[in-house]
Amino acid sequence: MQKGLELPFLGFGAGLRHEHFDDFLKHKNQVIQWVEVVTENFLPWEDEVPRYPYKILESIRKDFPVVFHGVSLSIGSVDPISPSYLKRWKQLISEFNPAWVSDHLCWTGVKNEKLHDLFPLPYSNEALSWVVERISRVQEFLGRRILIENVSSYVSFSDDEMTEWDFLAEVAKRSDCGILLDVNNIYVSSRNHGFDPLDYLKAIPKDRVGQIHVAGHTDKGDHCIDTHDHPVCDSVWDLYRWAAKNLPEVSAMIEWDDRIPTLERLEEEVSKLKRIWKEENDRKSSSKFVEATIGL
Amino acid sequence: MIENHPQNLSKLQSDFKDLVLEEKNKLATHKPEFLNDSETVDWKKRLGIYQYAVLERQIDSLKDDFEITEKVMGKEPFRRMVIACLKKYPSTYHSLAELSQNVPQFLTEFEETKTQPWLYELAELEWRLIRASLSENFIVNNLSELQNEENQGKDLTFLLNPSIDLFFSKYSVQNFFDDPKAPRAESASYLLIFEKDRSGVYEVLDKNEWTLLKELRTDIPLSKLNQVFASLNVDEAKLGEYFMKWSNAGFISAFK
Ligand SMILES: [Fe+2]
Repeated sequence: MQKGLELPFLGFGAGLRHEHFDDFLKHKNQVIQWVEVVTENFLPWEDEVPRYPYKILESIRKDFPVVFHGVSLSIGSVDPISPSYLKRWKQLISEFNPAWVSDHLCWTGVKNEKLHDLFPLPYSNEALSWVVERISRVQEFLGRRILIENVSSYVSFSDDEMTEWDFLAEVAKRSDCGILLDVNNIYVSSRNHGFDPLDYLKAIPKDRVGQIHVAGHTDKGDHCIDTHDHPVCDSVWDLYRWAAKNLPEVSAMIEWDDRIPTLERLEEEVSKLKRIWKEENDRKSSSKFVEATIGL
Repeated sequence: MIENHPQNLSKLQSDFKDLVLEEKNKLATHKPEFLNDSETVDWKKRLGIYQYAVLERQIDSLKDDFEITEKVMGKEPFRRMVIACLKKYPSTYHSLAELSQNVPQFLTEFEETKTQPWLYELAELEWRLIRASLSENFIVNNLSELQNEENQGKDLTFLLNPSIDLFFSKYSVQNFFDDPKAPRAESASYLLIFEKDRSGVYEVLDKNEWTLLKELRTDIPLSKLNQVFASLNVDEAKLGEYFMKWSNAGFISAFK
């Protein structure tokens, strides 16, 4: 159990992609303990007609805990949040009862245009108040807390008045939301903006972190791109190692969204999460917590 | 959002969006003031990552959904069309899957394609197949209750499986699936579209069967359907045959 947010410890999971639907339905998965699904792939169409993958999700959730991860809430946009989106999201939550739900600390479009990408915010006091108020309203509408994830970024803005990590910590504190900490995004941004990723990790309030993302990226030498199409690199595993040691009650998962590997290859990455977690926590103590939570 | 609307954030987002959507060769030489400088990577290169991701992600999604239309048009003309379509009808959707619905209509407006009506029909068919592939497909096995006494003599309305769609093609565009160079001549086809194993599939029907299913789709009661059937001037015994086929294939999901 994650004490601050009181979320269950689900262990080690992965993003569920349609390439693996059949593997999951045929119970081939032996390692992955829980799955994260992209909210938008399961929302009814905008005209509210239901979508077929519903049936698949209904079967999979009988065997695995499910969490929902959105990509289009656009919490930082100055556009109004779509009431239809919120309504359909809330309905999906009530039908599937996910362990938690999340989206990103970003904006995805403006002036009613959706660009289907995650743009960073300026880390200003104005943006901070704006985002805090919007998260609070979303949480009030859903009747539950949401987790907000740090995104990778390639630009920063001259309006910045604080660091990204101070901004994120303040958002979580003021809006009483949780944090989905993506250690790969921290790494990618640290390379693109020249900060120390450990400064970021150490500044995040531990009691606010509800989930961890670990993923691969593309290293272009003078910058990195968050592609989720590679195995996790050593530097990102090191950041996860820090998280496993310092946030042992937080569920972690692998995101692999492009050039999707076989289920077996994905399981290897998830096994590595588990191994690192065990190494860090065995080393730290022999407490019963380790065995009880990880089921080893 | 009336109170405390964030002026600076508003301007920044609007300016940034314009930059992301600007063509690369039209970008100004000087870095816009709202972007921070970086010692290692030029601002145009960093902005280019967003420009590329935004454009290519949408193009890829449309290429996936209009595979046959792309084959019939050719790669370059298809890409030109898609870029023009995104410019005229920018996405207003939360899910990329919804974006494809703008393409068929745009083909009737785009200079290079508006005189080729089969392209509109083909794209519309591909969009309907996508939609069917992602639609619910449930079968309610209560048709045996039809035999119950309480249902005898009632004027029943049959409900179709929600994945079912009916499509009329003036150019028999389904032929392009086998041969992108198939003749562009007028030749009518009546298609039934439905979901099977997570794909959208079609079946060519005769006109009478297609017309009846189309009526059935409007929740028409059986008595009125009989009238439609009579107007089609076909042997009445055929109706029972059709119903048997539709219910065996799971097209009829319930009745009320
Ligand atoms: Fe992530």
